Amino acid sequence: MRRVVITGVGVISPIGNNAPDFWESIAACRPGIDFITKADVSQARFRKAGEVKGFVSEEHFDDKSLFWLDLFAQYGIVSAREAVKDSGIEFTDELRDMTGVLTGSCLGGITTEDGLYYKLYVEKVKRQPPISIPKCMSNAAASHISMEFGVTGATLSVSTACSSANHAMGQAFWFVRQGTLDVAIAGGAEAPIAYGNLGAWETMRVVSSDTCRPFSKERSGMVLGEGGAMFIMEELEHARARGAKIYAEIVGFGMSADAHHLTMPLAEGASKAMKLAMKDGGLAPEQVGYINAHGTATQANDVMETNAIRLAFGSHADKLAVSSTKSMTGHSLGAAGAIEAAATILGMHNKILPPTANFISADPECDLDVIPNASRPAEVEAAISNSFAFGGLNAVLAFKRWNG
Amino acid sequence: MADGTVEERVIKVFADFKKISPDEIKSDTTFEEMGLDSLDGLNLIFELEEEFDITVPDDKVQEMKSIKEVVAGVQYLIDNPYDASAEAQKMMEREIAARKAADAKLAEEEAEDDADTPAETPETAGTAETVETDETGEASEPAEDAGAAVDPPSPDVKKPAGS
Repeated sequence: MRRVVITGVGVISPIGNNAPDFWESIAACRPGIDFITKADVSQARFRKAGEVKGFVSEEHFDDKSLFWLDLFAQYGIVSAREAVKDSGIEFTDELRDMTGVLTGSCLGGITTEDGLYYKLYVEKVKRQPPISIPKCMSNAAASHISMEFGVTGATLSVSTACSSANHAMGQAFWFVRQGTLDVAIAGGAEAPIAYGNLGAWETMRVVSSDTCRPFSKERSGMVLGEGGAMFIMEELEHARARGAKIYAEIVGFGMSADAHHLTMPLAEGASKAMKLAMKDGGLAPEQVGYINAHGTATQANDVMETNAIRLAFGSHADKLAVSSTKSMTGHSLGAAGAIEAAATILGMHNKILPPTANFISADPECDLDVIPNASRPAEVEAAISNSFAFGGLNAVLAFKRWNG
Repeated sequence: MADGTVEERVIKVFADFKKISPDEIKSDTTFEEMGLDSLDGLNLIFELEEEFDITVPDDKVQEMKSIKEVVAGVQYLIDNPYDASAEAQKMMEREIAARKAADAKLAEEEAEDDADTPAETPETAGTAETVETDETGEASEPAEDAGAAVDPPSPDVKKPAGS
């Protein structure tokens, strides 16, 4: 069976606009959650989010390109560029034919869409501008990336709420493993900090007016985030033949549906996805040393996820280190799985486990080792990264440390 | 203003939502008896906010599990209006003030350190604020939850980014 490795990483996040800066923030336990500047929250119950800082669109795109690019697509393209450059890959015509792009985005060009509706209903414009569909469609990032690199293999975008990126990356992994592609550019991108969308989140009463404190007794909900992360997933022999640097091996992908509730998660569903990811990767539970949790810091998720981990790992759960990097980045929805995969992969590569920030005191119902408030030097053989979406759609990725 | 007592109006909201006759709902009927789950609860709170033009805080939502409790909660909020965004604004201003104070204190300490010979190590006395850097720059220092001091945003309210 073909094996698939990660040979390039690109990240734009609230804690760093490239992979090295992102990783430095993770290792230093430095959250990027702060008061929202990109939308009007003067009437809102919550004021904070994980915003990307200091990202100047004009530094990355000329005016002609920007005309067609919502912020989410910009994040996707810039992180893909970093990943491609990082990998050192050279796209020959032959390779372009066997390379595809698979991205996750929950909301696509929501900022653009928000503005267009304002023009339509408030300013009562008579005509929609032609950029409406191309700029807002949630496959825009995947399409632009494929055009930029001229890659013509299987390319798609997935929208499964908070699991979008994991679903996209899992499929990318399978496409490379099964030979549909030799290389995949895969990840997620999201820019949800738009007025209308913030109101929609507020009314769900799951957003904290404090900050994001996963697994803490004092947690009071999630905090939104934004950004993008992309990876080069490459068939192992192809990577070896060109002497590529290898960050980690992606070994498993597991999916499930809760079939339970539109917004409340279910431990049995989540644990099924974790078990399937390990089965797909040929991993025994005892081989897993670290879990990057979905860890949104809602009352519901953190308890459910603790129970799901115990169901999936049995007694080994007490030996696991589990953390939620949403504590530092916020919840970037369709990009979350990708940004969290970056934390997981770079953590394994650098032998430092990411922490759960903002932790105050332990919740007896979340009684796992959650690596509170400081990253931990440790080497793990394998790690998994969880995404559990609204609507009960679960997607889990499994990685193995690359020892060379 | 709508007709009826608070209780009658509350019962009508629930009856309309469940598409049943108001006669089927009594004062002591619980959400459980009505077969309402958490999402239904969320929608009902929204309908009540619209009906009475009130804002229900998250912690009040937990107290409202029966018609009687809802009526009491709604009446309380009519008499004591809750302004969620004002609360959020106050929290933000408090945090900004606290950060400014922490920054000022740090600047003062740094100025003192520069001026004096460092005779004693400053005590951190259990407050979560200060992160005195030692030289190792190790990965593992526990950090403040708000991260490094950041200037608060100017309330520059723009129209949506749009095209």
